[in-house]
Amino acid sequence: MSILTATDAKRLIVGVADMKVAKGPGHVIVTHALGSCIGVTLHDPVAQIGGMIHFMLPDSTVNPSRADTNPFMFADTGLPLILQKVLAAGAVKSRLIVKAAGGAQFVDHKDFFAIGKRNYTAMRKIFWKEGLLCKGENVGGTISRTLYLDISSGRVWFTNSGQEVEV
Amino acid sequence: MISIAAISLDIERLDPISAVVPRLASVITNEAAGLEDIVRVIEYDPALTANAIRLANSAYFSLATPVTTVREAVQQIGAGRILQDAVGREVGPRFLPAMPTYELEELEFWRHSVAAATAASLLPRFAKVSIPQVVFTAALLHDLGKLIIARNIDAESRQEIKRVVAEQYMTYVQAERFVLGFDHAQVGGLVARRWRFPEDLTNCITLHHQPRRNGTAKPAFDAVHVANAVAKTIGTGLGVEGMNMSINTEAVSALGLTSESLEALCAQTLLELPQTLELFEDVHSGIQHSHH
Repeated sequence: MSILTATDAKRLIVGVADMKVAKGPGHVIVTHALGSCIGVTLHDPVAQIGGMIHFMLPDSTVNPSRADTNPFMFADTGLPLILQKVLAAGAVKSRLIVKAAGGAQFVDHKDFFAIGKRNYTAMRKIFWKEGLLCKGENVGGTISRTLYLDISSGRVWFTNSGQEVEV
Repeated sequence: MISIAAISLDIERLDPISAVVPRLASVITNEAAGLEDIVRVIEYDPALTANAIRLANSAYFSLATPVTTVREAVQQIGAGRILQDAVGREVGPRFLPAMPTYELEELEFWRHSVAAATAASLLPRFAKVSIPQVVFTAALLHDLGKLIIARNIDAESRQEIKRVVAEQYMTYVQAERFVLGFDHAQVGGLVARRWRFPEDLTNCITLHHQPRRNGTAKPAFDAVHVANAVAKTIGTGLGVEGMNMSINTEAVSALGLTSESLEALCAQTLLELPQTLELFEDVHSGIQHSHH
C-alpha cells in the first residue's frame, strides 16, 4: 500500500475488504455500497491525512488464514491496521477524528444474518481498546450507503438514493 | 401503471435462449437420469461441449490431469457447474447494462447474480444437507424478473414503491407486490418458464424471497434464498432495495447453517467472486475490472 500525495489522482476508491490512506488536500476517499459492511474514516485535520476502511465481518477467527492475506475484511484485524497506517503516514492519534457508516441489517428475526449488528459491536470494542472516540456515525437500518471522506475539509458524508447525508 | 398482461407480452417477445440449456437443466433435475444422459445432451451441442471441457480445464478448478472428454468434465466438476456456465454465457450480455429502476449501475446486476451463483456453488461445503446442483444456476438467475420490470415500469410506480417502503415499513419485494400487483420474483419465474426451464429451477426463482410460501420445504429453495442474502452481504446488488428483505430463519436452519458458518460463507464468496467473474471473461471484457 502506498500513501498518495496531492499530485496523484484525486478520488480514491476503497473496495470491499480494502482500505486507502491519503495525504494532502484535494483527495476524496470513497467506498460504494456499504450494506451490512461498515466504513470507518480516520482524519487528522492538521496534518491533512486521512484513511478509510471498508470491512465486511466482525471477527477474523471465522477464517484465520484469510486474515493474513486479507486483514481489511475483518474489524478485529483491519481497524488496528488502518490506525497503524494512518499514524505511520504522519497523523497524530490525539487529533484523529473517527467516523463510521454502514452496518445495515436484513429483516431477520433470529439474527442469523445480523452481521451489521455484530460488525458494529466489534467496531465499538476495538475503538475502546485503541482509545479512539467516534465523533459521528450513521449506522443500521436497511439502506445501502456510499461513504465519502474529503481530506481537505475532513467532511464525511454518505449518499443513498441520490440523497446526501452528513456523518 | 404496468399490468401483468403487458409484462407477459414482453416475456413472450423475449429472445429465446439456446434449446440445449433448458434440456440440460431438465436432465440435471430429473432424478431418473444418469451420467450417460447428461453426457449425451452436452455432446449433442458442439459449443456446449467445448465450453464444458474448457471450464473443467480452467485455472479455477486446477485439476491434476487435463480433461479431454465431456464425460470426464461432468465427473470432475459436475453437471451443475457446466449448466451454470452455459446459462451465464446466455444471459450475461443481457445482465450487464445499468438498471436505474433498481438503482444498479452498469455491471452491478451481473456482479450480484454471479455473486449469488458463487455463494450457491460454495454452499455444499457449508450446509449440512445435500444441495441440488440446479441451485448453482437458479441462484445466477434469481433476479431475472428485475430485467423485465425495469424496462416496463413507469416513473410513478417507481416513486410509489419507494414511498410505500418508507412510509409503510414494507420490504422492497412486498412494496412491489403492493404497488404493481406482482413482484420481480414472480416475474422471474415466468421468464424461466417461458425459457422452458424445469419446474424445480423455476420455483427456486419464484420463491427466492419466500422459500416456504408454497408449503413445501426444499433445500433448493432455501439455498437460493440464502445465496441472495450472501450476495447482498458482500455488498453486491444493493441498490434501491438495500438490505430491505426478510430472511426466512427456518430456511437458514434447515440448511444447517449458523451465524458462524454464514460469516465464513460470506468471506469465501467475496474471495472467490473475482475468479468466478473471470470464468465469464469473454461475456464482457471489462468484467474482471468492474470492482468499483
